[in-house]
Amino acid sequence: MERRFEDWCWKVTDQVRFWPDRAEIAKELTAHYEDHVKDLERLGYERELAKQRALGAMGDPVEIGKALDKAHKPWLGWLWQFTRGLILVLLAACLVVYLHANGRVNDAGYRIQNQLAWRAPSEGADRVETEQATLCLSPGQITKEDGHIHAAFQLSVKMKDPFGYSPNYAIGYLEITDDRGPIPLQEWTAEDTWPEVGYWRGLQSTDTSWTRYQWTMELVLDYSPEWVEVRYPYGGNDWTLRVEWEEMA
Amino acid sequence: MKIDKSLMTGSTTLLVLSLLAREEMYGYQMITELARRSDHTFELKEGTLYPILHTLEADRLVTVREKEAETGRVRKYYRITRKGLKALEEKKEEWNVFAQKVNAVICGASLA
Repeated sequence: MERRFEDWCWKVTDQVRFWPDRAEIAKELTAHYEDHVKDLERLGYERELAKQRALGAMGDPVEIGKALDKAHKPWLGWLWQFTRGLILVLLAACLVVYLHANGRVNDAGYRIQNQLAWRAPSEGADRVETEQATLCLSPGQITKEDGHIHAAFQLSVKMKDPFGYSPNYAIGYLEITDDRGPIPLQEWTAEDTWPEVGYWRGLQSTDTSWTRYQWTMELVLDYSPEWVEVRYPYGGNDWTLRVEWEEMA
Repeated sequence: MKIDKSLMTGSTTLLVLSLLAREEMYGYQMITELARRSDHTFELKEGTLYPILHTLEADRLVTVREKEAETGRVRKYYRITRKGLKALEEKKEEWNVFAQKVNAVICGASLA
């Protein structure tokens, strides 16, 4: 019997050319049918008979479907859908433009501006230009703790494409060497202890847009080297930056 | 007494708007109310109510909202709009004129 009502409902909605409305129509008709069945059961009808009566009272499905089709004009429906979509797109575009204009978001939304403590690379910083970025390595401070020398460097990366990938992935591939050779990973601080600073300069800028990153890297050594180099030796975008130890404060 | 279906056709919109002028209702409620008030004279095929309601909605004579009944069932409730009330008044007027004229003809015919 339920199957018979489903068939009836299908015949109705099949007449409605604007298919996005079909489900709602079926839902409403089903609620009506079920209300009627329950009412008849309250009056003492057997369930099967109640279903039969309720279905019989609904009328000719094709006739009803055709009348519903007139009420759900396809061109009007699609126009409404299109307009609604257009409004949503425009609102989203306005929101994005507004947020960009305020420097609150970047392209992917994950590099959020957190008014950073961006420190411009020092004058003595070594600088290198690659296709994707400008990189600087600035000398920092030297401190002595527990008989070890702690040397801080500041690595600054200014990505030319503001919508490009974050350079974070490259950090794990950096090699650090000094005049005595490669410095093992254990002797410089782990990635997660490097304060990272991300900043996206929005399109409102008169300058070309870019994304910039900054990390403070710390070496822990037992000696004072003559120089320290940070290298990225992969992917055809290899570069090397050097800081002379005597430039360290 | 059952009424000829064709006589009902032209007046169902008027009947539906009249029902909704009192309170918001869902489809099945309208059918039962219509039957009750007309002493089961107006018993249209229930499915035919929905094209009328959906047309009224498209013409903005009624608005629709979903509401959960005490039983937990979610139903679509129809409510007459200001435009609908205005249309109802016009239809009532139209109906009265029509009934008057029909009566005049019928009475004239029976007197003759």
